[in-house]
Amino acid sequence: MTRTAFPVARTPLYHWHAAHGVQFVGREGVQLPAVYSTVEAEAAAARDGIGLAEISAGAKLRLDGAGVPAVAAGFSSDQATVQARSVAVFDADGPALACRLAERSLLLLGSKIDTSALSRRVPESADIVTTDVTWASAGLLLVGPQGEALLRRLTSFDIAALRTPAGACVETSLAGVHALLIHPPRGSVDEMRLYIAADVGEYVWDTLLQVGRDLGITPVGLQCLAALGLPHVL
Amino acid sequence: MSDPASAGVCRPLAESKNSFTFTFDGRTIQAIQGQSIAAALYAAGVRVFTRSFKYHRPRGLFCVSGDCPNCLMNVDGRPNVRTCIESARNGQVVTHQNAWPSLDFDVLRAFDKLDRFLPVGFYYKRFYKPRWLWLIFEHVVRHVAGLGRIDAGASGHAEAAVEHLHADVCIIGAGPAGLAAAAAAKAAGASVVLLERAPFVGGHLTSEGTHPDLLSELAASVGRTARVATTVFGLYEGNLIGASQNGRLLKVRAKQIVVCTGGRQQPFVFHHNDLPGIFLGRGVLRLARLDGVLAGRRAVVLTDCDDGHALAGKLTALGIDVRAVIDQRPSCPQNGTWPALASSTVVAASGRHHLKAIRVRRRSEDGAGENTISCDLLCLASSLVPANELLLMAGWRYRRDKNGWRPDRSVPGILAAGAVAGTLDVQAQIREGKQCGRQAAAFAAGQAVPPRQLDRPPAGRLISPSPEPMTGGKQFVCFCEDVTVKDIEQAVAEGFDHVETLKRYTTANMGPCQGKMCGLAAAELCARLTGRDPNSIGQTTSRPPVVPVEMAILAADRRHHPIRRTPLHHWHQQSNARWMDAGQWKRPESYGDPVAEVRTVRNAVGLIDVSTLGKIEVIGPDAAELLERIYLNKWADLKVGRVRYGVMCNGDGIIFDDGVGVRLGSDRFYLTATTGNAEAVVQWLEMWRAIWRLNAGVINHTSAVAAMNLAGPQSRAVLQCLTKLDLSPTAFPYMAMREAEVADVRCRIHRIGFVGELGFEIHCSTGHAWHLWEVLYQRGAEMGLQPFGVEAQRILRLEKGHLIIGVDTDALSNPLDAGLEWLIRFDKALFHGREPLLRLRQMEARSRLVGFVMADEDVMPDEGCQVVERGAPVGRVTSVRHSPTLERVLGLAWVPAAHCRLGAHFEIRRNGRDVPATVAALPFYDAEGRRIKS
Repeated sequence: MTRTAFPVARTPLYHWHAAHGVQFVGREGVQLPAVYSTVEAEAAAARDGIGLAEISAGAKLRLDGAGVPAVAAGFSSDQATVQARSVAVFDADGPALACRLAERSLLLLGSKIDTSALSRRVPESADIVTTDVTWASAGLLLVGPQGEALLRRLTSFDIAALRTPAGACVETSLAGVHALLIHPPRGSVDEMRLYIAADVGEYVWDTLLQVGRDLGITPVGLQCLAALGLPHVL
Repeated sequence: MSDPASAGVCRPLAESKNSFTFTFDGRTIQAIQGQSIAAALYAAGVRVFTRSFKYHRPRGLFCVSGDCPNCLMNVDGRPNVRTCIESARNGQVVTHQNAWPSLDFDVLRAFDKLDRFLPVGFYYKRFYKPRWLWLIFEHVVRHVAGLGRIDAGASGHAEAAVEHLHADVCIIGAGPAGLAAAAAAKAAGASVVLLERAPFVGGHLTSEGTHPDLLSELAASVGRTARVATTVFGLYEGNLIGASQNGRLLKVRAKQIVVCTGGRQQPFVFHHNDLPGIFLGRGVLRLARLDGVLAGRRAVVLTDCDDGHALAGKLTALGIDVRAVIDQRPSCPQNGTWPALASSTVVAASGRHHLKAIRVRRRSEDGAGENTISCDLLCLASSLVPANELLLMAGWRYRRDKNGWRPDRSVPGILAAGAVAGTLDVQAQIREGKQCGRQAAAFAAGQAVPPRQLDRPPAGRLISPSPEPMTGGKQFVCFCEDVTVKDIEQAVAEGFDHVETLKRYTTANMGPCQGKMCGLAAAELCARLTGRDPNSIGQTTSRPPVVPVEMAILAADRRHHPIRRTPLHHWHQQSNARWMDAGQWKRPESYGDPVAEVRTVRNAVGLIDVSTLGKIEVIGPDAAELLERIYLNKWADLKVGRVRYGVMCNGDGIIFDDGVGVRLGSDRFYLTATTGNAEAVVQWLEMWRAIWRLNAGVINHTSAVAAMNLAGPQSRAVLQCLTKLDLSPTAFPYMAMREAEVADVRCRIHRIGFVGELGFEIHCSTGHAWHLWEVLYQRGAEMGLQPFGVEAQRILRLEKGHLIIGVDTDALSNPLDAGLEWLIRFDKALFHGREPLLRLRQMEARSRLVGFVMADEDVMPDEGCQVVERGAPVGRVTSVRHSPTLERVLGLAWVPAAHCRLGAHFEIRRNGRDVPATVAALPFYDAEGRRIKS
């Protein structure tokens, strides 16, 4: 057997980033977009219009089954995840999100690429099927004041219904594809996350850039997200 | 959102000093910022704006509100633009339409003299005798008919954006009632969207310049809620509102809707009632107040209500000399400033291209008398009729009584206020608006509110104009389609006395105004001619769009065409792949030479991206049972680590999909599905799992897992370089699966071969697919590896005789006829399609899917060609290719069962010629399967 270079994983939008001159940063074996132009310029664009970042690499575990309600209750002290469509923040070697997609479905989103920290939070149960969906979806993050206006052009779902202080999530249609929209519990930064199938990641990214052009949409890298107060988002 | 203040609550007479020019038929026209095209043209002396649809009569400005067809022109290549509501812009190119050679002299005006040859419905009665003349007629008719011309040479690519809005309450119309409703709903805590067609709020208060203080107060109370220049064109189920704004589609979903679309004046019917210079009274005020243009100097007002007398006062204030007010009522107010003639009406207008005089008939106890009044402007000030198209569309109904048309039936979730609900007094409109706004907000909040009483006393008089049939020349009921009183009379006489058949026969209501100007007049004339009550006549069905909408706007919500890309998409792109669409997927058809790719796979090793395959995991104690019931063959006995091919049918025994599956554990299976059916198979499994209450979960891994197929005699050698797994035939036999690391990437490897060679289908996470592909490609290059695309794959599988579901089968194909009987295990107690397949087995097959070779190697029919017998179609070719391996043209075809024996001859129709083919044994290549199992 011949030795080969250690495998480096690529996110669904790797080639878009490379074609647009991004500086990559390696993290846990994945090439991630660090900065396109300058952190200051990207942050200013995001504050005035919309910053668009790829956050596909973060670990994602999906839990399905009759045991989900009991597990979901354990992710929040205030019972936030007991109800469908709600979102709670919990710790998994960093801030992570628990999104209650349905009565028997829960999605865990970590701030690391490796799923082990999330897995440790999931109790062994015969009533739960745990699936690693890290590479199944592309994750996009919208940050900035015009994010809601942009989404109103792409989905018939009432985005305002998601923007609760406690956070919310919904599976809906966006630009003709199935998407999961997540508004995390309100922190210092107003953000909206989209998760779509990895194979339509580039299509949705292109569509957001095209439809949001007049709203000042700008791709931003991880350094910009950190500058905006989102250092743990991947 | 537009600020009402900046949107021109009370737009003064075109006060802006900014002027610019545009061209009209090559002539330079001066315009002022904010002015409409029509107003600028009128100020420049243009009086004839278009020619009528059928008789090519001159037509001038009439409604000045975008309702009638009298100002349609071509603007910057766009035909049928309503220039009375289209803002003039610097450099615009405006041209006339529907006239040749010019608006002032139109050759086709001759039709006006030939009207006795063109009666109502003439196109149903002419042009069919003699038959040979039809071709000439058709040529002429196609040139003459129609309204406006589109630029057939234009690119035709137009895209519009869409915006989705949600609100507790949506108010349509920002007149006094609408503003009051919006303010009240907002004050009650509801989220409000206020839509207004005009570029300003205030409705008639703004255009007529009345109640300025009241208007400012109302406008201030709604703040930035209003979206002006927004035209609502449809009201759909679920309180969905379709609207357009600046070339953008708005889809508004509201818990409650308040319609405040006001009322509109209607034309009166008299001889030459279409002459330029005859205006609706509100149109004259709009032209003067909003555009700073006076419609005439010497005016006569024709009315049937007090509004006409008020109008006369406003005209006088504008400096227009009011010659008379003609009132159809037996008595009318007199103020001494102008003559007011009661019991009078206009019977005719005269003038060639513009109004010069009117003939007035006065009825009195002494008899009738006529006199002529010289004027250049006739203002029609009829009682308002409700602008209720949207309400009718939503299910509201109106009834006519002595006070006019009034709401008779409402529907939950939709309220109405103002003139559209029969309330004409401004203060009453505001009160009603507030009441509706509060009520809508309460409904939206889920509070119980007593239903509003529709049958309230009318706040004002509301009647529709009553066309009086008179002898003489043309009296137009429908301006859009040139339908006259005589046409309606004739249609009713011919039996078209239902309002819907009358509409279809005469085409009244079917033109650009969609009945806004003629709908009630035609219905009332029909009632009068048939001696029936107008309520029994009713109105024609109101359907969206109530105003013309550009196709690009209607299609705005359908402009997204998702593209699915595999994780190797950009590798293929860099390798100059020729693309093909497979549903939403982009797949490499080839990398330039599919025949060379076939030879590489047969002689060395090829690599194909098959990430588009559906990849599904079934987990749970009942996983095996679920597959037993879904697939035709056995799955319960499949050993862990072994792969099996399976076919699934629907309940009718029709082939639904196929693929391979592997048993990962006692209660875990990993399946593949065809590219086009992946989502459908997942849903199929989910649905039947739930119906049968089986304890199994279905997980779709299609987007998470990449797949690539390494195929060819050198494939084992290439793969062995990159994995510690023992790939020898004994350790890793055909139809087995192993999990192992390949180039440090965790993979699932299936020993299967769709293309008929030794092959390994490797599945890994999409994130590592690029690395794995690159390593395989680089390592394999030393052994002759080349990538191959879908075209080469299709040739290879055809040589092997493997069918493709959806290509070689269709919605009528069952597995018995498709040659898959060997797969079906009828000894299973239950599987989808078992019963129909059992019945089919007892019956004689009608057709069979067979392999064939062409007798002539130089002839290759297209896929889809008919199999014919004595000239009649009896089957079809599903797949056909030239085989580079066998040097033959070979394929698969459905042929009659009687002719499916090996060596039987049949014929295929190709380009109108029947060419011979022979049934051949499948597979064409490596019948013993030695290569695939090697």
